[in-house]
Amino acid sequence: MEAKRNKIRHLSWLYVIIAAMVMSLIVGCSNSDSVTKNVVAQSEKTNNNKKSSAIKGDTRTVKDAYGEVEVPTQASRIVVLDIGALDNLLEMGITPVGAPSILKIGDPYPAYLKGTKGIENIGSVNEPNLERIHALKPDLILGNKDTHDAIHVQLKQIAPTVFVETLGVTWKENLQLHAEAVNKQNQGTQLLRTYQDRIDKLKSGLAGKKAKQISLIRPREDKIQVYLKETFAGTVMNDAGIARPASQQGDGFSKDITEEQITDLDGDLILWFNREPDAFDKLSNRPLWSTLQAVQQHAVQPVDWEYWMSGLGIQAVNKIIDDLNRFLIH
Amino acid sequence: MNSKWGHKLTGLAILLSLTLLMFFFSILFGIAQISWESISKAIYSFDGSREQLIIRTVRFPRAMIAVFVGSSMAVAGCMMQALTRNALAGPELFGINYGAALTSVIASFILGTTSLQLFAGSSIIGAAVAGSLVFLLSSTGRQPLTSMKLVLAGSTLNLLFASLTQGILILHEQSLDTLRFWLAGSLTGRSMDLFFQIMPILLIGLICSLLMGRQLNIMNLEKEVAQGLGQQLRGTRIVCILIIVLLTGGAVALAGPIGFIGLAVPHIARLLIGNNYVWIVPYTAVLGALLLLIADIGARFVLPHQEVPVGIVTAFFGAPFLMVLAQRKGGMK
Repeated sequence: MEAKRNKIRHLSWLYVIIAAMVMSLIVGCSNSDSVTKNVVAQSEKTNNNKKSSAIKGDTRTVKDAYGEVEVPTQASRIVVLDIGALDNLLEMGITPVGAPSILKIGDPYPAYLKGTKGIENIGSVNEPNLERIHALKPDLILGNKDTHDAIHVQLKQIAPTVFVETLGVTWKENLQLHAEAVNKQNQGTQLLRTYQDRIDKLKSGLAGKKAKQISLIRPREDKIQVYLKETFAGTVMNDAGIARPASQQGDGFSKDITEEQITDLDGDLILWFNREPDAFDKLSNRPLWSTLQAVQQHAVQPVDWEYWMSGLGIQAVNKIIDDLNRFLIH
Repeated sequence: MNSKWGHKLTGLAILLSLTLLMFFFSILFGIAQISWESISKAIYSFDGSREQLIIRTVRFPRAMIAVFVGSSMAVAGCMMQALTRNALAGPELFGINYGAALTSVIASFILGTTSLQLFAGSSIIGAAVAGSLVFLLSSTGRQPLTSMKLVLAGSTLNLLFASLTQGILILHEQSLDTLRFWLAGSLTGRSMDLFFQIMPILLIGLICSLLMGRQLNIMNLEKEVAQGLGQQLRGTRIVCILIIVLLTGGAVALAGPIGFIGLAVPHIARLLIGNNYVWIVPYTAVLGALLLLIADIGARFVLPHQEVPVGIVTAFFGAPFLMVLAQRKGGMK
C-alpha cells in the first residue's frame, strides 16, 4: 500500500513538474498583456462610479453602412478601429483618443503617420478590446463593417458609431464618410481634389515615356502573393493609368502562386513588400528568380508595406504617389 | 516457401515500379507545363532555362521529399502500431508530431523568424524531447513500458503539446498564417539543401527499421511468449522509440506534420502481405512513398491554378479510412 502510494506520488511529481513548466511558459508569454488589462479594468471601475459625463450637445445625422446615425456636431473623443481612419483623421488635423495596432496589441503605429503620440492603444485591428474603448469614453467610433460587424451592436452602446463598408478599394468613399463624421466635409473634398491633381500630373509625366508594366508582389514564407487590381495600391496605380503585367490584370484582391508560376511575377519593374522578414530573401535566393526579366535588368524595388498594403488612408495614398513618381518619372 | 518469397518479392517490385512511375509523374505534372524531353535534357544537358530550372529546383526536390517523407511517416506509424499493439496508433499518438511542431513554434516565437531551416532544426529537437518524455513517463511504475502506458503517455502529451502550440499561436499572430500552412503539412518551397541535411536522419531510421522486422514480430506476441523466446522487450522498445523519433522528427522537419500516412499505410501493407513484419516494413516503406507522391500530385489539381497543402489531401482520404478501421476492429487487434 505504502509502496503504491509512493509510486503514485512519484508519477504525479512528474506531472507537477511538467505542469509548472507549462504554466511558466504561458505566463511568460502573456504577462505584459494581462497586467495592462488589469489596470484598464480598475480604471474602468472608477469611471463607472463617476458616471459618463458626455455633454449632450447638438447632433448631426450621418449615413453610414448600416443607416442613419446621430453623431455629435463636433466630436472630441474619437476612437478609430482601423489604420485607414487613423490615417485620414490625422491628415484632417484630428488626433483620435484611441486607435489599434495593425497586427499585435501594443505594436507602434505605422511609421509614416506623424502625430500618433498619446493615442491610446485599443488592441489590434482584428481584435479591438471593447473594455479599453469603453474606458476611453469616446463620443464617436469609426470602424468598418467588413471587420467589425460582429461587435457593431456593443460598440453602438458605447458611443455613436460610423462604419464604412470595407477597407482598401473604397478608400475615397471612406475618406468622404470620415470627413463627414468629423464635420470636415470641405477638407475631405479638398484632399480628394489634390489627389486628382497629383494623379493627373503623374499621368502627364508618364505620357511622354515608354509605358512600363508594374508588378506588385508580396513574397511570403509558403507562397508568393500577386497583388491584383482590387487592392488599395492597385486602385491608385489604376487611376494613374499604370499598366500591369498580363498576369496581374484580373479583378480581385490577390492571387497565390508557387515558384513554378514565377513568370507571373515578371514586369518592367517589380515592386515588393513583405511582412515576414526572410520571405523576400528566400525568393530572391532561388535560381528561378534570376530568370525574370526585371531581375536581370535590376528593376526590382522594395516598398514600405505599412502604406502600400496596410495604410488604407489618404496619407498612404500620397506616399504611394511619391514612390511612383520616384520610380517612374525621376 | 520459395514461391511465397517469390510472390512477395514480385509484389514489392510492382509497387516499386509504380512508385518510380509516380515519381516521374510528379516531375511531369504541375501548373507549369513540362515536356518529357525537357526532363531528360534537364538531367543530361542542363542549360539553365526556366523550364529546366523548374524541374531541377522545384519538381525534383519535391518528389524526392515526398518519397522520403512518405516512407518515413508510414514506417514510423508501422513501428508505433507494433510497439503499442494498437491498430490505431500513428505518429499523432506519440506526441512527437506536435512535440516537433511546438518547438518550432516556440523557436519562431523567440527568434521572430519563420524560416524553414529554423523549423527543421527545432522540430528534430522537439521530436527527441517528446520521445524522451513519452519514454520517461511510461517507464515509471511497476510494469514499465507497457503498450497501454505508452499509448496513454503519448496521447496525453500530444494533447498537451497541441494546446500549447495553439496557445502560443494566439499570442503570436504575425506568423500565424505561415505556421498554419506549415502545420497542415506541405512539400512546396523546400530546397535541396534542406533535403540533404535531413535525408541522412531518415535514411538511418529507415534502414534500422528494415532490420527490426523479426523483433517486431516477437513483440507482437503476448508478453509472456515473447519473454519465453528470450526477447529483451525493454531493449527492443527503446530501439523502436529511437527509430520513431528519427523518422518522425526528420519527416516533420522537412514537410510539417502530414497526417494519416502513418496511420493508414501499415494497414494497407497488412492487407497485401499479411502479419509478418519482416515484409510489412518494406511494403509500408514503399507504399508510404507511393501514396504521398500521389497525394502530392493531387494537391496540385484539387483547386484550379492554386495548390493546397498535401496534408489536407492526405487527411481528406485518411479520415474515412480511420472511421472504417475503428468500426471494423474496434481499435485493438
